[in-house]
Amino acid sequence: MRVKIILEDGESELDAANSLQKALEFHSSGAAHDDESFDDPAMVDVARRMEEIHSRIYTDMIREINELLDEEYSNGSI
Amino acid sequence: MVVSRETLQKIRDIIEKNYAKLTISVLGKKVFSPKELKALRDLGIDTSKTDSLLSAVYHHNFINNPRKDSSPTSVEDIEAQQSQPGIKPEGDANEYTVQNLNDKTKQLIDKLKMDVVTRIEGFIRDNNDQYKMDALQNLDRSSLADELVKESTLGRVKQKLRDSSREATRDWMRVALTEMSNAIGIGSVDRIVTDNRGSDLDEVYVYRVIVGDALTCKFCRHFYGDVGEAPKVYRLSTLLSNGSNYGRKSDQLMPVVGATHPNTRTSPVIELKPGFQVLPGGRVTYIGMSKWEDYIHEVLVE
Repeated sequence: MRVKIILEDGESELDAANSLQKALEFHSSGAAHDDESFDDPAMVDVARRMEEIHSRIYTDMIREINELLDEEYSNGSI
Repeated sequence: MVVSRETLQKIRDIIEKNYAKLTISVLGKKVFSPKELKALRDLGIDTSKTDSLLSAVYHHNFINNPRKDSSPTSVEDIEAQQSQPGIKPEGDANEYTVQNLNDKTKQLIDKLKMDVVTRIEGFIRDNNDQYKMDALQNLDRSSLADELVKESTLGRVKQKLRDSSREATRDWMRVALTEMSNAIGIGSVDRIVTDNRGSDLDEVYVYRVIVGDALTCKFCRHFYGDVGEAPKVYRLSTLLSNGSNYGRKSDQLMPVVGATHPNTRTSPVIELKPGFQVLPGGRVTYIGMSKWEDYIHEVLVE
């Protein structure tokens, strides 16, 4: 497959190559699917719920670890 | 800042506890043994949650296949619908499927947990090494200078921990979306099989409508029909015999009942009843049995 690239005024081939690389990385990372998921609104809501649950628990976990590190630092363990 | 082995163990315990919370919150308590549940309760984790979001996805796609305007549109709607007596399919086969979906997802959460342990320990070990190098190069530094270095490295570790959440969320959503896709596909197909009790599954025809946006991948477009085209029609037996795409390389992927690939946004499998033609976008129109034989042989993907 061939891709035709049309440069904007002032845009270099390197700029275009960087933009293309970023777009490909974004697509292959799976992040492209993060914002918009299933065609069924109920499934979109389940996915949103799953993301919320993970986000809340992960944030709590990082807070707990940071508190532990602070505590160990304060008492001279580290 | 040198984090001791004991502190690393405490960090592992925190990760273990929080991923157990994640498992309970998403899959409910049934995925744990009584012994495991007791251990979790001893850690102060609420183990009362019985419902599994993944089971809800399976049942939603079983009950609402094909989806109608009156079908649930939110988690609350799903729970309300599924609380009606007798609406959820019962029997060993359905129970096996739900148990299998939940158990597999639990395994994947355990794997994510190990990845997080490795990642977080990696930050800490890197910082320990950096601190050690700095100390070796400044053996005669004052205790005040040493404290400043410690504080600075502690701040760096904490920042890295906060920054890790984006990667962790991405990994989690890959698992969540892929396992939801499995539950959607399997739930919808179990409904079709149930509706066709006693039928030859070679003679049951199905299709799937892909999400019609630019993000849909080339595999889903190729297998199920691109945007603007009529969905491709398969024998149900073909999709079933293709098994699962788990572990297959991209050039070995096949049209399947469950998730076509990781991060997929699978839609339900829908039955094409005899006499009907499926149009672009998934709408169906009655063409009559006299035209059906020619139509189905023309569009069927063997």
